Amino acid sequence: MTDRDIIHGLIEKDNRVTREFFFGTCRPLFCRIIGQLFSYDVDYDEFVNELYVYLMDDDARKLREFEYRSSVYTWLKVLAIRYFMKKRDRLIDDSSRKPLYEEPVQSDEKEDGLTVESDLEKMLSLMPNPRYAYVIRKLMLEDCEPDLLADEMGVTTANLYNIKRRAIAQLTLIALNDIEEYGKK
Amino acid sequence: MAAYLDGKTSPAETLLVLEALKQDSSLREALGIALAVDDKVTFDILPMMEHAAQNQGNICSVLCEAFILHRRDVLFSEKDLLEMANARNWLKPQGAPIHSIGQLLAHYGLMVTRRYNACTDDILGALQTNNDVIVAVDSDKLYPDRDDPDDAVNHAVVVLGVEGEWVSLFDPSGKETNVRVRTKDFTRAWNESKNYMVRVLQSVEDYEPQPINLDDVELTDDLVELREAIAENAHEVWAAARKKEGWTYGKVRDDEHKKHPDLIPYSALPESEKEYDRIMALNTIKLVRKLGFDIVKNKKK
Repeated sequence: MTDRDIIHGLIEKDNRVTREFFFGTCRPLFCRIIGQLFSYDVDYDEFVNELYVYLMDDDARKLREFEYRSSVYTWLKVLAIRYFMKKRDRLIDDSSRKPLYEEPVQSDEKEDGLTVESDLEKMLSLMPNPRYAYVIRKLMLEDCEPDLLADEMGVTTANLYNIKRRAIAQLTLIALNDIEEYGKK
Repeated sequence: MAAYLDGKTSPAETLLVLEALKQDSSLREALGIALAVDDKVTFDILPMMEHAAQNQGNICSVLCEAFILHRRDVLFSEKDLLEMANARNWLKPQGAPIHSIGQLLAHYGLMVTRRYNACTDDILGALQTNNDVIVAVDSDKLYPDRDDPDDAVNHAVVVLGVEGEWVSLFDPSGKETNVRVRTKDFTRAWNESKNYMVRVLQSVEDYEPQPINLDDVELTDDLVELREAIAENAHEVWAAARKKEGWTYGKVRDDEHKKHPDLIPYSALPESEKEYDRIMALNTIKLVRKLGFDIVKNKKK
């Protein structure tokens, strides 16, 4: 099934697509997200069903707005994370168990002389996989054409996107660690 | 954010996301979770819990098994079969979980093997040795002309023969139970169950072990760690059972005097023995995932 088939099937409430993709392929993902966000026992099926209702709300408006800029799976992952984060915050708020924790907004002033690009350079130097760092550098700092880079690296363009995807994940982890460390100082 | 995670943002957009990470704690949390749960199921999940569910009462699998018992001259009553299947959860209101197909036959002493990802050559090989074969199929693909609004069920049929363009079946769902369908329709219908096949052997010589192929299942690091805990506990369970039976430690295995060199703590086992336990544990975890179950760590622990 292509992503278009999946989106179309979900919008049309096709039993097989809904069952296989949303409640089959994606259910373990949703459960992992719920497991990350809720520290107490919750009803996974109830939560996943709620997410489905949310997705199909208003004549499946969210599905209809999908722009195919990512895979449906990744898009649903992000949608589910945001949905369950909001749900968690709402539950905390409603029960008044804890005050809503708002981290102080960090100043958006940059350190002197530092640009986003130089931050990126620093993060690239911290990446454990030099091949990933190279891909990021070429594609994002030097704006190299993916086809040319794929040729140079002896991989297909599709494979280059997979490498880039893994490289982005590694870069993001470093960025998150960097921010966490910075926050502790 | 999804495009960013898939590596499909432009350089400028990627830099924007990285910059936004500094400002937005909610984005940081969301991205952190996205990376933590990045374990897309890339393998085919086997439909162990799909239901074979045709005929009134969703009893197609029971009728297929009754057909084979009859062919094998086993005395039984259909009422007993249904009662037993219901009592043991081999038959549920929504049908028979396809992994339960064959349980009744095994109860009556017939040797049954189950496998996924079989092919028509496997069916032919089984039929040539007079084995019986039940397969799970999607009935609307088996009979493209039939209207099947549910488009969801699996259905159990007995394969009687495969000859060129045609496959002969015992199909308990119709008035005429002996039917012929086109091989291409059969293949499409059978694919829906990941080519699930229950083989009823004639003799032990027909038995060929066919463990489920788990090569495509990759485990996350925490599940790999779980392997070691399971391996160690499996050794404890084994050792406790042996000790209960009166076995004691001995440098050399001696069945007569119940001595065993492995009756020592797991940590003291030679690596070769530990490896055996690890392989068993790893395959168990992989199988759980392959059969469509997810293992989620309880955040409280």
